[in-house]
Amino acid sequence: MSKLLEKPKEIKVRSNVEGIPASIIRNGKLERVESIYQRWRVADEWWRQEIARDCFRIRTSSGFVCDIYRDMLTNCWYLSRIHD
Amino acid sequence: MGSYVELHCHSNFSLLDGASPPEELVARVKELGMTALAITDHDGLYGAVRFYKAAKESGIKPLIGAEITLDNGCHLLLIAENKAGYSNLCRLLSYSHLKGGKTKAALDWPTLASLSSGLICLSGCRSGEVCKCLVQAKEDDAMAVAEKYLEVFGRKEFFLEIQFHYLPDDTRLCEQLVFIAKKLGIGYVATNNVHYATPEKHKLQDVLVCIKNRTTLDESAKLRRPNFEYYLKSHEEMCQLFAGYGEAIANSSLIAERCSVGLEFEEYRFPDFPLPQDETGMSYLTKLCYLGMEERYEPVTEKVRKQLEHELGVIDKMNLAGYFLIVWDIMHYARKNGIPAQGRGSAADSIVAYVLGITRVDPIRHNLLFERFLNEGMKGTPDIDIDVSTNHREKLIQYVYDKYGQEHTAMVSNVVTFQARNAVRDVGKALGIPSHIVDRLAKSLDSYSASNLKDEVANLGEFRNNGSLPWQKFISLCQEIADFPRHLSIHVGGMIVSSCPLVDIVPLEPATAPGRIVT
Repeated sequence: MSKLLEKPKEIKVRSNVEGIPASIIRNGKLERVESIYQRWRVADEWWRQEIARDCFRIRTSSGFVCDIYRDMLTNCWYLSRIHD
Repeated sequence: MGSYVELHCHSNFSLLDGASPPEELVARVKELGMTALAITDHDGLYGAVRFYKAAKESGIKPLIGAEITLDNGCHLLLIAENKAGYSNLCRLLSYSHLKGGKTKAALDWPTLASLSSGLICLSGCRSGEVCKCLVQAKEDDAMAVAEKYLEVFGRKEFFLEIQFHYLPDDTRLCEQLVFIAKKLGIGYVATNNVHYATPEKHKLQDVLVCIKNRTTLDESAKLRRPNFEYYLKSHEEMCQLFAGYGEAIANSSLIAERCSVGLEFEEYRFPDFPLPQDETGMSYLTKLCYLGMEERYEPVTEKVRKQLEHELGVIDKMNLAGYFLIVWDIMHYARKNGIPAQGRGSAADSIVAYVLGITRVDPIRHNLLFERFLNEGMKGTPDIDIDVSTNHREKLIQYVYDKYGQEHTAMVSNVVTFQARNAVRDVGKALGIPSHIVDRLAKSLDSYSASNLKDEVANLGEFRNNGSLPWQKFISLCQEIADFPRHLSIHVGGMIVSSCPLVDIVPLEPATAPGRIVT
């Protein structure tokens, strides 16, 4: 099961030079990214309000599994989905 | 390791799918420092000659291929390794269209199996049979399909194609495809299923998909590609994407090295004209000319005789007797059957054309210069245009078909391109702009071409001040699509006849008119 956030929540992410997340800040604590299950990119709605996202499904050192993405237009990171 | 070569690339001759012309793709490949490129348009070689010329001019090695559609709907990539492979590719594309009909191609397996030599086969994109099985988690089926292809093409000619477009299951698919390749002892190769030269062109590609499917951007999420990763990537980018698969990059270069196909058509020749016994083309042409001379000139002056001898000498040197005999034969048939027809243009400068009854203007009387029509320095064949009465055209076309045979004769197809009005209508519809606005704009345009639309719209009263971003994007996309091929149609009178079966040198397909074949 997973829960899609109604509105993606901005989060702090540290990534490597290739843009792959290495750690995230969750509830004020740093959690290492231990696994990346999937990576995908989305680019759409350019004729309205353009979106371009580099998306990752990750598991952190605390066992937290979620989908995060980097907005490729602003370089900000967001949490979009939480998995059980 | 050799440099990466893109082997799976669609130009805008993948009609309403590819978003870059062949020349743009070649220019980008050169800019990226790459040495070769394959163009593999959907079910056709429509852009092959343009691509070939552009590549040769830029010092890029051109590879000729196509992504064919099988009768089960799956895709398969074929690249011609040599001349025999090119002929087989033309035959396969022809049979595929003749079976599938005018608007779709559908190649059956036995035909593919019987014409596989000289071709390198890549397993294709996600619509390829092997990958499709893996997407559906049918690993055993994928293995069986790969074995089937291996049996037909052979170990050195069949490669599994791996792609990475940042889609959620790309990593899994790559792993599984490489696993199958290793298990069967066959090669695997990286490709990017290119649909445009640079990332920003993905917008135009989205629009093309909408036009093709007669829908709007808002309603086409499932039809459009999910991101902008289908562009021409550099060697470095591909190496990074396929970091664990060095062999996949190296194989792209090895395949490119193996392929060598020329499209100069130097060996093309006109069909042999059926001659009376003991005659050569030149002796028969000379005989006909002298007969015609006696009919046309009274008296035959020295000037006339000398000019005729001179022209026949040039025609002999340039080995064009057969060509003149073919045209004479067509005109002769037209005359005999009361079909109004007449040669025009620079052919009127020739006394040979005049005495053969091809033209009706006496070049001696009017002091016309033969060399304007034909001279020894000319490359290629002189143009003899014939105007034929519209009402009788069909009869003459049928005569040519019957004379030279269906295998050697075809009508020429036209590529209908996007110009100002159809660009505005089609792009506007894709963007969801209200039809009455699109219609008003289209009707306000004076220019034929869409390439200067921005300037023209800037001078149109009611549209002048529309600076909104969507409107600017609309106009800009209309300009980008200018001169893109939209669809094929049949030329009103252009015919091609060849000494060798046409399917050996060009793909053929059915036209809308029953029994009519075009190339």
